[in-house]
Amino acid sequence: MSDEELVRRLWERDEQALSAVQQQYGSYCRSIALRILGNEADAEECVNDALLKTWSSVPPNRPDSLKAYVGRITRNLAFNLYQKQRAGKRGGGSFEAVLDELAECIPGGSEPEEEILKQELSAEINVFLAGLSKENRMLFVSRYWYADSIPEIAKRFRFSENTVSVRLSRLRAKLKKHLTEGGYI
Amino acid sequence: MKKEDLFEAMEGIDARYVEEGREEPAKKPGSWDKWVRFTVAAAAVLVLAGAGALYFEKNPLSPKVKAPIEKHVKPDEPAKDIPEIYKVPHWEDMKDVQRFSSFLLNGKEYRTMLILVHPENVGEALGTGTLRGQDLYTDEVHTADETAYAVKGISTDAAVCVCMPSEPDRAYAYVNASWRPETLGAFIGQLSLRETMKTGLVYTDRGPDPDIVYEDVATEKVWEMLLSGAEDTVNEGPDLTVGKRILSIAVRVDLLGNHYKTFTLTEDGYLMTNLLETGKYFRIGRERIDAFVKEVTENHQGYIYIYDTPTGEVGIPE
Repeated sequence: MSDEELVRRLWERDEQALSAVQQQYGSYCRSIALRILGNEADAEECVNDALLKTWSSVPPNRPDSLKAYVGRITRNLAFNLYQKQRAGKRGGGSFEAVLDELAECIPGGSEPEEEILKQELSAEINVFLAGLSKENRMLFVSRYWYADSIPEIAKRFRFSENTVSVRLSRLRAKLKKHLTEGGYI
Repeated sequence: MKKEDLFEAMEGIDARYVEEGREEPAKKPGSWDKWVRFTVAAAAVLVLAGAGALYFEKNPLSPKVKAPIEKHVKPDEPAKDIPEIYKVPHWEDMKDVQRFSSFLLNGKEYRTMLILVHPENVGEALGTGTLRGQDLYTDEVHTADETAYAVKGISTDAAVCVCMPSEPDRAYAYVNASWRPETLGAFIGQLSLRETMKTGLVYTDRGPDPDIVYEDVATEKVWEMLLSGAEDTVNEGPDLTVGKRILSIAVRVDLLGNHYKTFTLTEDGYLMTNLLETGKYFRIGRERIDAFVKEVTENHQGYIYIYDTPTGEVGIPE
């Protein structure tokens, strides 16, 4: 079923539409949540919450891409839960490595407590991504949106793990340069 | 800026990039692949030759049905007064009508459909109710008291209209999700459908295959063949198994602006609709449905729509 059809049925408050969303995107959402949270039980709970939030937010929202919409809600909920669970603990876990890599993109001189307008930062990242080749963009999104592991990315793109690591490192340096030039210091 | 801020900001990237991130990466050609491509090209010629015969062999309709024609169309424009949604919006970024998804009046809950009601169709004041909305990020509930008005020609059991705190001159329709007309006649009467309803495209429901769309089926035909003479049909919904969908008809109720819904005909003889967001299932019978399907498919040209995107790319609807 197309996203357009699913969104239409959600707007019609068709209860079967939510089952259809779960069938179509349940695994997709579960994989997003699992990569961030690291365990099935939390991921399952997160996906259930995401589906409920989708039901209660469509309408009034009418997303063009239901896949991205549900994925975003899941990612947001998973990350919120991750941060709550992590409070008081230090480091560890494969997802923590994703965050540590992103730390390299933060321009020098930037204070941790500095208020950053998330929307502005998203807009800058969009500009950065638009300037990449499709393959590089897919690599970057796989790692830093979907939190795929390096071995998973290597297998999917048919690269060696070292190649993936090197290319991501270069992309992070490029993002850092972009943010520095954009004045995020 | 913290690393967590950067991860959170990634959430707001363009939806196209999110989808692209899950596409199959382009294969890098090797010498073995050249042989595969030759074999696939040769096989494609045979497949195309057989496709025409296969369509008619599988087509359950009569031999009088014409083969559908591909037609390039532009996708629908999004509603101009509601911004396009590319990410889960924050409370402060939404208009009031997006924030307040429900309205409570006299014990009934009405839900927004983001539909503007023309000032000419705003009726008498009904009393004060409560708008209710929830911030998806913080879970905080927000409320506001506002006056409800009738929509002329539509029963208040079905829908009312409400002005938003920030837009006192514009009334938006809120529909009662629990409204269950007892019969098809009550459904037609309480929405004044004979005066207010127009029908549009008719399309077959072929599951994963592209729908076949019929563009010029007259509203009068829908009345004559499906609705007239069936007014006593009882509303059997919503917990019901109605069989596979055969055909859908786009319908519009003008009193509610751009409120587009569908009538769907099913293989168990039901006409089902979520017009005004309520589940309604009327068993009008397979005979009526088959006669209508025959009328549409034998007397109208069907099309397979190919949507042209703003970037000039062409996509085939799923």
